[in-house]
Amino acid sequence: MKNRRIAIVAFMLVATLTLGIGYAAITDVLDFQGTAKVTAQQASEAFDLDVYFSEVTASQDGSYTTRINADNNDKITFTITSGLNGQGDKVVIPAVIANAGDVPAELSIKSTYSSEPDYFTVTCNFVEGTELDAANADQEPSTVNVELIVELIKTPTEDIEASFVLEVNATSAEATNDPNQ
Amino acid sequence: MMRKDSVSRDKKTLYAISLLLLAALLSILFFEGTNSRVVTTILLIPFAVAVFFFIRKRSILSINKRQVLLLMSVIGLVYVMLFYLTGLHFGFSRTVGFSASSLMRYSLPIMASIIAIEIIRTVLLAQNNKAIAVISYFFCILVDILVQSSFHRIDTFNQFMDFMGFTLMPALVANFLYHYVAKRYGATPNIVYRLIITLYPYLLPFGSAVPDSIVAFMRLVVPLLVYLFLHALYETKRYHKSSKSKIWSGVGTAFAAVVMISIVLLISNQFRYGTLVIATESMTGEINKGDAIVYEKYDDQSIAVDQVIVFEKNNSHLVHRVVKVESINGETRYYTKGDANEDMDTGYITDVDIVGVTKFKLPFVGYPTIWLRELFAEKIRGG
Repeated sequence: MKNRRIAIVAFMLVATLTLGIGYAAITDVLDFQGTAKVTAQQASEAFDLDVYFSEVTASQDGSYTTRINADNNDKITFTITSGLNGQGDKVVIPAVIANAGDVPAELSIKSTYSSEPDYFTVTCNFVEGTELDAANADQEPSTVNVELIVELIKTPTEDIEASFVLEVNATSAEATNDPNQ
Repeated sequence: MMRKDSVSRDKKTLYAISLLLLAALLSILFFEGTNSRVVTTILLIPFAVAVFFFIRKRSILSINKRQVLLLMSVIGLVYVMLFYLTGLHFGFSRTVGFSASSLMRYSLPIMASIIAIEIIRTVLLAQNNKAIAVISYFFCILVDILVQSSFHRIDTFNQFMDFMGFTLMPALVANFLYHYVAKRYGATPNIVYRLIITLYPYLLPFGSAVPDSIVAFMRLVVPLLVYLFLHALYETKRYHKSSKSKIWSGVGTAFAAVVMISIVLLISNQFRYGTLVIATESMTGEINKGDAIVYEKYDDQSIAVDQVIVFEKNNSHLVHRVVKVESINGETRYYTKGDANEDMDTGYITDVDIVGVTKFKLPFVGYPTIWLRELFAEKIRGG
């Protein structure tokens, strides 16, 4: 019985320490906020290419706020309010790109910019060259779901304010296919 | 000859049932999206019936079955009562509560699974076969995981800790107690005790808002205390112990209890003193990354320049030094800065943002927390 009691007390100590390690509160980095802008640009005025962000999903856990540019919907601005504390943390923002023009569009990433490239990366998960069909006969736009991903690649050791820009080019698929046009 | 054949047939049936049950339960782990609670219960019921009717039951040894049943019921009720009493300190929060939907989704599957697994456990343990006892222990843990947790959705560190603290570790400990009771006193005490301590959130509309860390600790400790209590009450052989040995044994146990309770009270951050692991290097020199600090809760005590305080900003907990205090229009503004940072923190904080005043640091003890979180983040990123 004595040995069993020692074993039980030892187990309880180890288990409590394990819980303590897991549940211990941890400090965060001051003013850790990021802003990212995504721009869908029309490559050529020769075609009626109308590509825009039709939707962006609101955060389920309050980790970011977002809005679509009210003027022409070609830009999403978002601010990360939480969720990026340690290396490997990422915030994923689902959005929808739509094409309401009368020619198909081909999507490509024009540029990405991170003001703190040692700490953050920003990417968009669509495959380079993704094609968006033209709007159908009922003028309903075709759409593609994309995800904007902001990832912390190194745990910051001091206060950081960072901004991101991700530009998506939408060019006419017909224009790239037919060099004579 | 007849008896030997019967025992051998029992054994074969037992192995066949055990293997089928294990295979069926393990297969649930791989079907993401299935309601593991309901599926597990549906699987358990026919197995419980098969075990109950086709396996020969051997008599339970103890003469204290009724007493233990009563005792376990009282312990279960006291546990629930104490849980609600903690609400007087921590406040109350909504629970699933009773409704037709919660009855179908939670109460009935949980109730049926508890009754089924306890029948299976008791019959298996009554065979007095060590291998079967060990296998059935892991069966029961697996059933607890399948019935009680959403193990398919471990995407964040908090979900991982919920799984560890609320399901896996309690299942390891509680099944140790249930095995002990089932072997000696049968299935009924376990069924009654488990129904009392498991079903109350699905029957009552509110529960105590006690912090997760304390709930996890209670779930870890209570089954072991119940085990020690039952063991001391009914099974401890009286033997002579020297008074010196008694003293050392008592001191050791008391010391362990003080350490455990201190850890739980500190990490819950709900009492006068709390603790915080330092994950950044903004205070390097005074407090390094990997240290843990113990702070005293802010209760309107005066705070002067140079004191290191814990405060909240943008939903984050920070530990920085006060570098300037000013009073404007009756509002006291505190300006803060990390010792290793070149600039002061942006803006200022007021009394409502202050969480506590740092009392002392515990060097390096926070590293396991940081490593665990980084490891988890790496795993999620990789997988």
